[in-house]
Amino acid sequence: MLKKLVIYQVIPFVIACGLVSVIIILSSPLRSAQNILVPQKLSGEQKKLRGLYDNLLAGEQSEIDLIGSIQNKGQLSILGSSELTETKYAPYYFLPDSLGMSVLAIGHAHHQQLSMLCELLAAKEHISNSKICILLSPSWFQDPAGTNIEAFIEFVRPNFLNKIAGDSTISKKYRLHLGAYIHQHSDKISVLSPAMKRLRNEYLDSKPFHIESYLYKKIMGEPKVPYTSYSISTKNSALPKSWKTQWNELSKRIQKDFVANIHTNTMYVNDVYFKEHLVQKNGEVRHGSPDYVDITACEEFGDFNLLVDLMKEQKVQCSFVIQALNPYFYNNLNNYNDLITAVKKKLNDNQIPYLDLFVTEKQDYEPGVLKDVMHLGDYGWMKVNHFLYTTYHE
Amino acid sequence: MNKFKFLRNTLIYFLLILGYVYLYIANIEFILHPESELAPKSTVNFVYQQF
Repeated sequence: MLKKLVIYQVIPFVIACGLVSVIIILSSPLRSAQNILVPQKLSGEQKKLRGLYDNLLAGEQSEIDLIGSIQNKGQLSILGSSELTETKYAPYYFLPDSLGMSVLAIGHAHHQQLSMLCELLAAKEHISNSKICILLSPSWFQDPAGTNIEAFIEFVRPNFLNKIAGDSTISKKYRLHLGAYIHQHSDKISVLSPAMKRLRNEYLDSKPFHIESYLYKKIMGEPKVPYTSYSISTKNSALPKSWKTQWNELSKRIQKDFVANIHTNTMYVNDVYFKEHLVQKNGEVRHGSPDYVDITACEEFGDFNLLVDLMKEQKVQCSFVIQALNPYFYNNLNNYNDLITAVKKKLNDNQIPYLDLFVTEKQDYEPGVLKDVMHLGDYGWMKVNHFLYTTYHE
Repeated sequence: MNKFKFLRNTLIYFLLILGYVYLYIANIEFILHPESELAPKSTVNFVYQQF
C-alpha cells in the first residue's frame, strides 16, 4: 500500500514539481522584459487656492493641486467625506472669500482615513509644517472592516501607490498596514497593479513563510514600480480679505434662518431631506440606532491611529473636527462614547487641536450644527470656520 | 509497475502545479504582455447609504 502511494503519487508529484521549477528557471528571460521602467514625474503649477475636489479623477491637474495645497505652507488642506458640499459657508469658500485664507478640500462619501493616510504618504516629503484638517465622521467607525475597496481604488490614485511602494523612506508600519489591506481585499480587485503587488508581497514576507509570495517572486521577480515624483510650483496664497470677523452675529442669524425654514419636523432636519429619507412609506418617521463601536476590532480606528502617528512624526500642523450625529434621529449615541473618548485621548496625547461637535443628548445639541442627520449645516460650518481661523490664522 | 498510471499522475500533477503557479500566483497575461497597463478596479459595487 505504502509502496504504491510512493510510486503513483509521491514520485509523480516530485517529478512534476521539478518540471515546473525548470520552466520557472527557463522563463526568466520573460520577466526581464518587464524590467524597463520609465520614471514618472508629475510637474506643474498649483492652480486651485479655494474650492473642492470630490476626488482626483479629473486628471493630473487635480493631483497637482492636492499635492500643491499640501506643499503650500500658506494654504489649508481639508480632508473630509460626504459633508463636503457646495455651500458658501463651507470653509473652502468662506475662509478664502471672507478672510483671505486659501483652502482646498477633497472628498465625498467614503473618503476615509486609509485613503487620507495614503494621500499624505504620497506627499510625505512635502507635509512637514503643512496645514491639514481632518473632518472625522463617527459613522466611519460603524463598519468594522473600515474603508471599502471601491473607495480605496477611487481615492488612492495609481501615482500615489507607486510613490508609496517605491519610497523606501516610508516606515514599515505604514507599508505593512497597506499591504495587509490590499491582501485582505485582493479577491475584490480585478487586477493588482505592480505597486499593489509589491506592498502585498512585503506584507506576506513579514509572515513566517508564505509560499504564494515566495513563488510569485521566483516567477515574476520583484514587482517593478515606476519611480514617481512631484515637482510643483505653488502660488502665493494671500487672498483679498473683505469681512470683519463678526462670528456670533452671523452664526446666530444663520441658525435662526435654518430653524425658521423647517416646517415638517421637530428633529432639526431640513424639509427636503426629511421627506426624502426619513418618512417611510407607511408614514412613520424613521430613526437610527448605531451599533456599539469596539475600537479593538475596528479597522477604521487603526487607520485613525496611523494617520495621527504620521502627521505627528512629520510635524504637520494638523487639526481634527469630530462631527456630530443628530440625537433627535439617532437613539443610543452612547454607543460611540468609548470611541470618542479614545479619539480625544489620542489627540490630547499628541497635542493636536480639535473641535468636538459630537453630543449624545438632545439637550446638548445645537439646532443647525447639522442640516440633516449627519451632514454639517451652515451653522455647523461657521463653528468649523471659527475653529480653523483661530487655529491657523490668528 | 503500471507505467500508464505513473505517467498519467505525473502529467496531472504537472498541469495542476503549472496552473496554480502561472494562472493563480502569476498573471499569465501580464507575463506575455508586460507592456499592457491594466487598471485595478473593484469587483464589488458599494451603494452609498444614508444610514
